Amino acid sequence: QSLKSSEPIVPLAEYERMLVGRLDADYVGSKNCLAACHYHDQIRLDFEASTMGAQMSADSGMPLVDCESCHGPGSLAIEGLTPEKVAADAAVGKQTPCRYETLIDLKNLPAQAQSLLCLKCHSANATFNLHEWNAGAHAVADVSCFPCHDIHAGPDLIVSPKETKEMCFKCHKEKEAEFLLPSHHPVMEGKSFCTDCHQPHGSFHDSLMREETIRASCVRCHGEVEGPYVYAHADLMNEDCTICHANHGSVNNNLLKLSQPYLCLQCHVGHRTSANPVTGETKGAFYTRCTDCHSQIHGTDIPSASGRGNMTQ
Amino acid sequence: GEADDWDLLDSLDIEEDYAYEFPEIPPAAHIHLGYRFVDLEGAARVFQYEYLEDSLMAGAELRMFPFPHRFFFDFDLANKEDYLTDLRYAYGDLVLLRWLNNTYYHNTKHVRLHDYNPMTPAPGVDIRDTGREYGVTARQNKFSLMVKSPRFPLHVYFDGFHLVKDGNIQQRNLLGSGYYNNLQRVSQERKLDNTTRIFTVGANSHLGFVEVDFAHVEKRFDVDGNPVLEDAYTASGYRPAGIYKHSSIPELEGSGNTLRIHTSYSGKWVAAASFLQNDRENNFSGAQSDVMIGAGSLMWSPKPGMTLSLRYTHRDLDHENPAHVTVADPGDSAAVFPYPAKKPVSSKTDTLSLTGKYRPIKGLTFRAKYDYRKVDRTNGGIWKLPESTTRNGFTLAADSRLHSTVLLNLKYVYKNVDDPAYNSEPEHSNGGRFALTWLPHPAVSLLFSYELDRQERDNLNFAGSGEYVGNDLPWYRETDLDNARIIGTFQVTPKLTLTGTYSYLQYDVVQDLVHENLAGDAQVDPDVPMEQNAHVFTVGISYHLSDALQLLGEISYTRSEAGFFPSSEDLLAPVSVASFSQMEQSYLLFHLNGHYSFNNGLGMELDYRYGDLEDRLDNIHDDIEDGEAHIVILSATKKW
Repeated sequence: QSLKSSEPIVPLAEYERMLVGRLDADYVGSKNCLAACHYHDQIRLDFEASTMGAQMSADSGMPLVDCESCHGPGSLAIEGLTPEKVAADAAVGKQTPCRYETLIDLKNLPAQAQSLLCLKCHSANATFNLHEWNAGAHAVADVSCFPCHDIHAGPDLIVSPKETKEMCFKCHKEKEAEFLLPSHHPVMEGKSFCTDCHQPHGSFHDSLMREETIRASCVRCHGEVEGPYVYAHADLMNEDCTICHANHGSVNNNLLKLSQPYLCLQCHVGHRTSANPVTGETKGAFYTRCTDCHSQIHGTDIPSASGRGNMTQ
Repeated sequence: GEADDWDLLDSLDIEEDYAYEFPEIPPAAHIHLGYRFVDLEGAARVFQYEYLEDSLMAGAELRMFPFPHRFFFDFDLANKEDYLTDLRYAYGDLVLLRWLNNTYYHNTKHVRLHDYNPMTPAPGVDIRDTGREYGVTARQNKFSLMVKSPRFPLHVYFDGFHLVKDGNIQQRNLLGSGYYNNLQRVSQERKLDNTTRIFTVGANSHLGFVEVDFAHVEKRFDVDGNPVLEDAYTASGYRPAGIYKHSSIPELEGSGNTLRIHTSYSGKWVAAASFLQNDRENNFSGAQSDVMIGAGSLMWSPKPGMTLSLRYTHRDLDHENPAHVTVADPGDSAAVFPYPAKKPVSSKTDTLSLTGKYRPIKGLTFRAKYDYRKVDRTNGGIWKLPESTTRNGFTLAADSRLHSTVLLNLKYVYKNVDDPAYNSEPEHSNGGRFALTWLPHPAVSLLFSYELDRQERDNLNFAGSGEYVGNDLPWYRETDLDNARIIGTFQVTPKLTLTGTYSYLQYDVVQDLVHENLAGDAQVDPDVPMEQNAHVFTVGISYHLSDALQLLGEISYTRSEAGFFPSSEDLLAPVSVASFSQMEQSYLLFHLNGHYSFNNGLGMELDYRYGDLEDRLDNIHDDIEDGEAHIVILSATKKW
């Protein structure tokens, strides 16, 4: 058993047929393509330095990958071209045109076929985080690998976390506005990244969350409010932080969806409001930011003075 | 079989045909060195995630490809509290190693407390941190190592996550007796030094026609700062005066296992399943939680352009508490008070979604989705929560390319919830999205989109101590969410691009609020509106003057306001309860960047940022403070 006999992730016959290329063309090898035309020199250098470049050698023990693995057989594209003609054209500053239209028209393929081009090698075992690609939001919305991964961009095919913001905001414009609100996660500042919480390659979970719940994603970094606590905030341990917090950005401090005390009064009965001549309590005590007194609002292990879990202590 | 595969390769004489020589690729590197000038006036929150001190800054990047080794190193240092390191090494495709360090500073809030009624002894305020500014440094390290076997496709991996949050924050808490007869609100400094460690070890491989991945996770959360505070409390009706603990941050430990299985053996069918078990223990109190999750997905693509997928998840969450917790005064051995602990809520949640996508003709795609979620709670009644909540959701969407230059997206979402647990969740909601993208000219791109959600709730359920609380009263809530945006991109010349955006975000709620009078009777303030909105404007200019000189300018301006308007006189004096939610602020960011490249790989860069945060109401009861700052960075770059 080897990778060479592994099953591709989406072996849909119709899409596979789109990736075969011209049946009347032959494979000619990268040396007759990239190396012969200096127009591609930078692409060649970047590609050969990449992981897939290493796979141009059978010594790697990996599936062989070269230009024609993606672009299809290239004999028709270079028909009639010779190194001498390319050199002569270059001498007069002219780029020798090849019949690129005989190659696979990658840009105009359906998104599923574009993705299959990558997935036929990057099957689940090679890149295990692609397990959930097909049922994931991006695949369902006809987003292929291409908008995020440009294998000709350089030798490094891994997307740097610094680049993810621009990638995601190309489509998710509304999120960009949320990150410009006064309270926000530092995504615009380049100090936290969309991929910290989201798995763009697909996920079992809503909104492509990396973790099994939104809450599990939050407490990965916010361990100070993870719990479990003896006095938890009702069953919010079971629910999502988004009941109170706007996860991308908000006009209110601490990413609160609405400001206090209104946020809390949506679910909780306000404290007594009339002044008590015996105890001296006044209504002013009870209408502040609730968390001025209920400081352990996510949960606590220490009962309040009355012995209840009022999250004041 | 394996032997056949290798025989095939041998017969093709691959080795001979591919006498491949890895090219000589010279290493590429660049360094930059500069100085960062900072001028701050007012609150540091104007740049919430910047360490606002003058500093040297530096950076370097190195790429080397001496086959079969690949090495990449990127380092950016803005100051001692803000740097990023990305280190990658690969040996062929067999060993992949990455270390990512991301360290940044967060100017955390300092909410000013006020004595709302100095004429009464309580509630009072005890300010112990006058003039103090707070900030926390987050040092996050991610490490991953993957080793692949060259022939049999077995991968073994290790992932490490290490996060230290170190600094000082404001701790606001309640002292006095901690009960009605004597209340003191306190503001004091708290040392924070928390460490999160998550380590994952796993392996994946083919096992016949399925791929299997197994991982084990260990998590630790340690507190080295102030895990719990102690303060003097006055006597209450429940316990004598003494020194008691409060505001604990518990240390946690936990572990988990994940099994994932995937297959696409039959072609048009793709199936995946995962099983997860996770436990957590609170080392301060002994509270425990265990979660078991089983999930599966099935996708069927009967023909091109048509996809159906089904997902099902079952989550079993079990919480356990100790029967009692004890409060003690360390200075008084007799002052030990056991309190019974309430039974926690445990739950079982079943989630199912069915998604269909159909593309009848090129340029037109329909999508439909049905979501079902049912939560069954144990001990919910103790917490005045419904024993069961069921949610149903239906989504219909269409994407249509009306013309080669016009794209239309439409979406409608309906949700229905039986017995919602929280008042902020609707019983019914209708939402939608409309988006139109138009490319009237190759150099012009325009987008208009509008999203809305209308939510209703007829039977609010308030959590409180009085007997009147329940499901019987027809208390009402209505929520309107509206988001609109206009985006235009104009390529004025091949070297000059302008981008402008405007976004409007609105969150309006009208609902009945409830408060007690002194007798504990419910006082209903009906139809209290809460209005919150924000306008966000951005303008960006990118000017590529020449190969040597590039200019970038960006401005963003955000104006937001919020307020709610109770009518019950009890809530309006001596300080209106609405004062704390009343807010109007503006936030201006200006960014200008210029980079000039000389012929010999040298370059110069000037970067200027200006921020202005303004509390436009000057409301002492909100938690916004004015701040203004300039950051200028002058740096030199050298590339090889």
